[in-house]
Amino acid sequence: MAVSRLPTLIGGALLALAMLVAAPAAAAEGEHPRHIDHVTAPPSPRAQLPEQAALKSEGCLSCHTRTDSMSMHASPAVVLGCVDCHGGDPTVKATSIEDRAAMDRAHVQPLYPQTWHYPGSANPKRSYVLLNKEAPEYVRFVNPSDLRIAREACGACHMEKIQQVERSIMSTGAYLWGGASYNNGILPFKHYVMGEAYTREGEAATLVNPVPPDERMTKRGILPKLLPLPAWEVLPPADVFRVFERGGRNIVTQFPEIANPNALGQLQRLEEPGRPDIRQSNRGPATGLRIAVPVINITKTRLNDPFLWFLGTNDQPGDYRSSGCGGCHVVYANDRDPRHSGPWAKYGHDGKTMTVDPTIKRDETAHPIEHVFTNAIPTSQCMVCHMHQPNLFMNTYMGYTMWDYESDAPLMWPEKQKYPGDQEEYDILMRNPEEAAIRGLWGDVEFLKRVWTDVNPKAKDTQFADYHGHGWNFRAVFKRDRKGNLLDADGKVVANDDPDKFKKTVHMSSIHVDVGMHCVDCHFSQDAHGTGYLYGEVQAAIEVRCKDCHGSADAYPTLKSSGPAAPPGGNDFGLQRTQDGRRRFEWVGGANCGGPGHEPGCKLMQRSSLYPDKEWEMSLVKDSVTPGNAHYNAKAARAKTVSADVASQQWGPGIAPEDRAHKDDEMECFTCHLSWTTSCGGCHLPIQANRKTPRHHYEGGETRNFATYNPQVARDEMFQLGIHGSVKGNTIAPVASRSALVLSSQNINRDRIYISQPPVSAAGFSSQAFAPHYPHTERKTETKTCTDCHLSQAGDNNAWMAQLLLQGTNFVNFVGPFAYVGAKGGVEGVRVAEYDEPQAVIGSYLHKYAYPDWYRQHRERGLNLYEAQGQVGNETRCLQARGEYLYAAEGRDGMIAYDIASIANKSVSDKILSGPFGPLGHDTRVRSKNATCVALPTNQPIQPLKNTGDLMRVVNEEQPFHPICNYAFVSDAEEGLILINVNTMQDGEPRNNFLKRALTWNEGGVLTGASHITVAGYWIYVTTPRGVVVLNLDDPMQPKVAAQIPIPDARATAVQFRYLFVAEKNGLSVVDITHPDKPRIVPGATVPVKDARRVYVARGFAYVAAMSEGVMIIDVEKPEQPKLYMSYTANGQMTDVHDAMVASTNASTFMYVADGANGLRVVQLTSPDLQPNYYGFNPDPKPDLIAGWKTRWPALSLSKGLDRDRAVDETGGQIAIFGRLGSRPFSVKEMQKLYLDANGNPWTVTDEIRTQDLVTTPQHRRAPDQQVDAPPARRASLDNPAP
Amino acid sequence: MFVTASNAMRHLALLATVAPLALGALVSASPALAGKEQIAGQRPLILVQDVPNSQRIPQRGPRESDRVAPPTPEDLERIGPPSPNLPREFIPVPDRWRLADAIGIRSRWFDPYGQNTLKGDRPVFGTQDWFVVVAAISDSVYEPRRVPIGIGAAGQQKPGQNDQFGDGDQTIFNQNLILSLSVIQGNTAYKPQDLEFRFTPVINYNRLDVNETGVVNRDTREGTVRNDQHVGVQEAFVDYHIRNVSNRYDFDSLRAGIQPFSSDFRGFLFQDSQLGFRLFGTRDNNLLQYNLAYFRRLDKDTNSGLNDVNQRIRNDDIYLANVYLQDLPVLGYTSQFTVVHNRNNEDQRFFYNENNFLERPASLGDERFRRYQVTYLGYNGDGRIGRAALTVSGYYAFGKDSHNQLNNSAAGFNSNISAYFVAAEPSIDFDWVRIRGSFLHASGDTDPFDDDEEGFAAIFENPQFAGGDTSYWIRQGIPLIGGGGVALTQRNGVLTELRTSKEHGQSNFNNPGITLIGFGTDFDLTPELRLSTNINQLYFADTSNLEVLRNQGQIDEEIGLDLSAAFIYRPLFIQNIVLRLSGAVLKPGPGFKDLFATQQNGDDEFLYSILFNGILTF
Repeated sequence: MAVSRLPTLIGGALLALAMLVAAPAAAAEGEHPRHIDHVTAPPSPRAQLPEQAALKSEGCLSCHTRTDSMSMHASPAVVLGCVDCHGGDPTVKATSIEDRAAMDRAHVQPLYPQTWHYPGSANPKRSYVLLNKEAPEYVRFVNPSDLRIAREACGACHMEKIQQVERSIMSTGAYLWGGASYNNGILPFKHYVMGEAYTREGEAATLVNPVPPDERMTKRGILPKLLPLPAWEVLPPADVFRVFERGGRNIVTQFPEIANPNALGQLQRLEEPGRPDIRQSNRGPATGLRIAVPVINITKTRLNDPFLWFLGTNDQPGDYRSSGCGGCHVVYANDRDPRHSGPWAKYGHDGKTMTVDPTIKRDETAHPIEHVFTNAIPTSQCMVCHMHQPNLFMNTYMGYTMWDYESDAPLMWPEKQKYPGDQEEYDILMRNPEEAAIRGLWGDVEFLKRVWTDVNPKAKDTQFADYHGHGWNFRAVFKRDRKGNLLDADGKVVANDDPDKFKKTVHMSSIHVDVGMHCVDCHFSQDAHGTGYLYGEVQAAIEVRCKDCHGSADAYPTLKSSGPAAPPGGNDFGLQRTQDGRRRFEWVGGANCGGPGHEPGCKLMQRSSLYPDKEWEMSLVKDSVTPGNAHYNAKAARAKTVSADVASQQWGPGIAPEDRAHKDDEMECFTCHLSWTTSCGGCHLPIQANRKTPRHHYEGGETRNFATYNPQVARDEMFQLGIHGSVKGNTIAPVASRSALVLSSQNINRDRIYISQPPVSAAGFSSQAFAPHYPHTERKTETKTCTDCHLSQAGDNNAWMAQLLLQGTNFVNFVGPFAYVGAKGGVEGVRVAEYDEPQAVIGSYLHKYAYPDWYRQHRERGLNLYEAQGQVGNETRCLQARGEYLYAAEGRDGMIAYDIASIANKSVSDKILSGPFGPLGHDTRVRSKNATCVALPTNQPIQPLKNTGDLMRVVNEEQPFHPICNYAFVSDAEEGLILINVNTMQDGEPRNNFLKRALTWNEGGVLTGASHITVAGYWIYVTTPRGVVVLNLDDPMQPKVAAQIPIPDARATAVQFRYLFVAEKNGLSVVDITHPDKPRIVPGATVPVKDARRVYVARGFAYVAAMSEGVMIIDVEKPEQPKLYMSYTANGQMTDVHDAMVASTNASTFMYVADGANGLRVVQLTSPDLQPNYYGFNPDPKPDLIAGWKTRWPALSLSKGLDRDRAVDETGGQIAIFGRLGSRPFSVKEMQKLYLDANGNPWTVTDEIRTQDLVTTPQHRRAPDQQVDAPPARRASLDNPAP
Repeated sequence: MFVTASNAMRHLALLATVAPLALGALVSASPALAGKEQIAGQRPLILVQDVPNSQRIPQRGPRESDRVAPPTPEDLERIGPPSPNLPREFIPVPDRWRLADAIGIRSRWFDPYGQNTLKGDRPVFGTQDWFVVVAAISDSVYEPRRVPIGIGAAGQQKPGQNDQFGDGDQTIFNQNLILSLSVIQGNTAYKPQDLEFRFTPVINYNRLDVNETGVVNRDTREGTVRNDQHVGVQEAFVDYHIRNVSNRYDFDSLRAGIQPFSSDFRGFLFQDSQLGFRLFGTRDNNLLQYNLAYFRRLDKDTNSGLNDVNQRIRNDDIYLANVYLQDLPVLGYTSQFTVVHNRNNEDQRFFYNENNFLERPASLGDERFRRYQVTYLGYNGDGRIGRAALTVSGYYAFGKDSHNQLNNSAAGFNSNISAYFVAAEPSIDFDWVRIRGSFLHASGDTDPFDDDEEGFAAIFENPQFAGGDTSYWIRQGIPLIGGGGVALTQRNGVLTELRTSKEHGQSNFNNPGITLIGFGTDFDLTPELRLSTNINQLYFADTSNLEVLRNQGQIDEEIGLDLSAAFIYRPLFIQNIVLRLSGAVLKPGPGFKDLFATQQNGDDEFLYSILFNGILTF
């Protein structure tokens, strides 16, 4: 018997052994807490005698013999001893500074001394959740103003402010988590529900609004409560990527077996070579790895983190700060630029202290400059947190945007390619989540610190800022024209080779920065602390508006806040004083300034919050429009007072306010008063399983998975308008592309299980998100003018208008890492960019500097690319990738959606599938007689089926999709038009992937011979041998022929705002489609091309695929006067061109060409060395062939890159998600208001200040029936948004 | 405006009304607050001028702009600040996992597919890092089959039969209930578990209906049916995470106890749940995975094949070291190099299985005890090369056998083992169709009477190859009639090892070896349904051993053609219900016919195997 028990005995022994060693395993990640019974200090008293306070500092002063302020408050009226705030034992006296024993008795002791590097007092680097794990007593010792403990340390006097800050967005980060979860489809709540908060002990906490919000408060954006972020492990995936579908066999919900393949020995669960089971869990949603991956990113990847609940990361210039109140009111040295740091600039940017306290090391980083609270908070302090989006708000305010890796690349990338090791990567990425940093010079903090001083003098393309929070670099934005020429203040071109060009041009920082203002000169106490309610949208929590301090055309400023968060009556800024005791605002020059007795000499002065000796005169709008006033500005006056009568366009004081075109309550001041806006045209978040990284929130702890954050395109020339959120009154406002993500993932085996996939938002709109915003780039001269929003008389702003209205310009579209080619015998996916970050196009300018070795190898390969995947099909003359499917028109085989989910997966052998299952289980082919082309209403993944119900329609204030969004449109030479409902491809359900015709239509044979189809909203343009047929598919099931354009042998079309470009037998023709049902062929506008096959219009240039003539690049900036710019054949290497298209990667533009004889060709159009004006809206292309791939069959067509600037279609159908409740793109009526009169005729403007139109005496009001514009639809009915 | 004021608003209003004194203090502290308390609504607005002079910061006289105008409609929409004196509104949420409930993700204990705390999706015991995983799997096999059966002189079931070979039709019903409990500390999917305890007992019931005696230890009182049951322990281990070694989450872990292990991708050499220690982990961003393992084998329950922990532990040790290298030699291909040493010292004791058949030593040749030490050097590869996929396996076995049972001469003692095995499965996918080729060759012993043993034998094979248990040859064990109590091939085995059984017997290197050339397809017909087909042509590598054993000359090398097809059906497209129906026939070739009379009633009888397997997983 004894023998038979052997296994049991062995097992028991093993268990016992394991138990013994278990404890260390659990905490293998870090330091073990010490066991300390802390003495909790009493709350700080509101008042006490100086003698009482002295007793509480007595021992402390034995070492800290001097300090900057005993109470930390500048005012001596505040009487506090050290221990009142910090705790500790004041009775312990040290014999010297070196008396460690005394110090340990006097100081509160940490549970984690190593992590705090006790007894050092500098803020530890990237401490994040350390504050949650530490004892509150020690938190109080380190930072009494930390929000966990501030009620005890500061509450006696500041309880209201503490409560406000606890609930402030700056602490909760609710907008980030809410926006991320909504825009990425994770949670369907646009009234955000998550925010960060902790209890005194550092436990996750739910925050409850002080009162349950009623309807009125809800309208104002006040939320009932904010929950902590749920564990990502329990949130179901929002992404409809194939790996998140059901059907998994082998990936279990526990950590996988290591070095133990097929351990269970089941044939059914065999991991097949070349065809691995990619599905992330063999169980349901929200199990194992089948979860909402972006929530991992929120938890771990540093974006806006850390919020006020945590210390700054304190590891590089721009990241030094404390937590809680001290996060703002205690200034650290972060930036040497006085425009950013004000008087604090002189202390450098290394977070070093200037304290008089002898115990604090002067040469150590991450100490506050002084032991004093201040209200003179410099912009650089705000910037520590308001860094991300890297392209928004404060960067723009200071005139910077995210650097794109290309400008001055030679100075920022190492000469020799870097091959970072794992540890080096980790060290850099923990500091800077941008993966390119592991290869660039700026991955080294010492280099980063010198960028402002050492790189800027040598820089040719741009200038960098001195703040580097997150480890990032920011480039200055300079004044340029639409061609990208640098301009000086007078609008004259500054030569690119002028050594002083950056001095001569205009740095487009806010005019407020230029006069010496900092954030706190506009955003006062309430904006900074919050109202005390919970908010999810930043805009809702702001009280100040432009007019509060500048007034309007009709009134002087009240100096009372009037923004969404303003209290009744507004907060009176006129009563405020700066820290140095001066009145913040003061009228001078008259007794009754600002009121009815206002005199011409009245001036409104504002006093600087930071400089005791600085003040400036406020610009007053009313003065600027009042003829005769010293500040009168005719341009301003015209803009503000111009009549809504578009025929007369009269302006001046004679135009009654109600007759004005630009009414204060209909549009934001900054709609025009901005000089530029940024558009983050997409970030790439590749996640890797094999990264051991900590959670940055809640309980911390290390797990696998980490996503880096990589900007792909950040542009500064895109000016776009839309409707602002409801809390802002649905005004007209600038709209920026916002955090448009594409996601990639590598699993534990480094298989790329999905690649560059855009998610879909909770509302079903594309996640290529947009949001109305206030760019903070106000300037006096470089503002928006008439031709920025209306048709120019010169007829040269068609592309600009397409951009403005968010219809997109086909310029910043995203291709990568694969480009899809349709060919004679099938389709191919060709890898054109590096997988690594930055995802440089192979052979490009960026490639040369980021990957010099690989670039050299590419040149040595003769510019040949080396990775492509194909699928045998049929002659493919049109194809379009959307999501993980590639829609291809295959002639006699009809239309098919190929599965391209595993295109980049190294373990998959067959990467483009007609279907993962047989036709009985998956059939995405729709057979037709001769499918010639396929088009989708948008190439951004969308899911109309998600956009239903009261939650979306009423609560979230989303408008519905136009029904055309359900379909793919196929032109068939014999059958005409075929509509296929493709929603099933986006529903995450793999069992219903069957595509069928929803409609076949060819009434009267009008479409017979159809060769190409373009979808522009519900207007469909089909080319036939007889011309272009314009169809109205407002009801998709009942197409109507709206017009037939008699252009014989039309082959393909492209739409840009008011014009249709037609590739036809004679060349490129232009059709005015202002009214698509009444098209007008522009006479004399045909540019001859021998054999034009396709046309692609990207901003001001049309790229015509011209067979033997290569690509004919035609200047269509003035669509009615197109002219040939050049014909490009790459010295005879492109002489069989069937298709061409344009896309952007980082700062450069590329052209992809399908050449029958030579395959795919990649051409760089702009780059810092080819075209220094590459930041322009419409720089002249300078084509240069950089790469090619000989396709297996003759290449015929190309899949257009992901639209990154298209939020709405030509008929007002929304495509992309808008952040902010009630915000949306213009409806078609609203768009037309900008360029059509009451009769539907286009009207034009010039920027010329036409004094002949000036009206000084009041005009008769027009009769209501003569009014051109009906009262503006503040917000179209939700169920009927696009009338 | 306050007609519809909520309770809260009324509360605020009340507060503001009853606290004018406190308000006064506030106003004095911060004049800017003056306008804020208008939330009260019913109260007159507090004007700046209302504040006592003593409490005002000196300033210029009142001006037009200081006048507080009557509330505009816009004003009425605005919200005044909340009272600062409300209680702290932080509600601790120590468990962020259960916030999933708040968005409608429920953990239901009875739902094995959805999120379930019992399946390790959420922590337990009020912690953040302890998880339990409970599993219950019902695995039912119903298997009609026909195998060649030798019969003794003792008698047959059917009258009138007078042959060496009996009625080979049999029916097996085998029911396993696998229960598993894991307790995990750390995290489940997002890092290697810090600590895991796992216990997996399997309750087996099996029922065999045979037409001949001598197959199992049958109780003749029950007719042709034999029922048996057993409780085996298939997993009982502790997994301990020793350390992480890089920021790529490379790590070392130790797993001790009864644990499943596979020596290679397809289970050619050793694939079993055995008692052992295994040190394993990864390096270099998981490009490298390794094992250092030691197993001491448990004996099995004869009829269920499950571990029998009540038996004396076997005197058989396995020492193993292997390394998996990803992306070698090409991206997407994994190579494995392995060394396995098997030391068997079972030469002390006769061992009879539960059916009272002698298992050790095998009744082969002189039936003497023997022990052996054999080392396997192996290379295995799995992955894709371009458009094709390829699995390969190769082993060279060498060592010493204390006694060659077929060679009772001096040379038969301390024989040299020198054998090899190669297998390859190239395949290529066309969308939803996979076409596979299978090639396998295990060396056979060329001369039973020399001092070399050249037949390849595995430790405990369970090959997932050429159709695996779908195919007849691999699924069915075929007794070698007349060769003693040994089988030509084992159940779930491809080799012709001539050992008594996989479960109990010793490896035998005096065997004819095998060559398999096969062709197969997999059709993913629908998400729910897969059809696999296999055609395998089988040959002995060398029949000289068989000829000696059977005392029969000129046994042909061709075994026959094995045809099989299998449907795998997952009605819900999930793993919780997996149904499998497969059928296989072996069309005997000359060699097989030489060994087994497969003609009955004048017809050339084929051998068949039908397998219905239903796996229900909780």
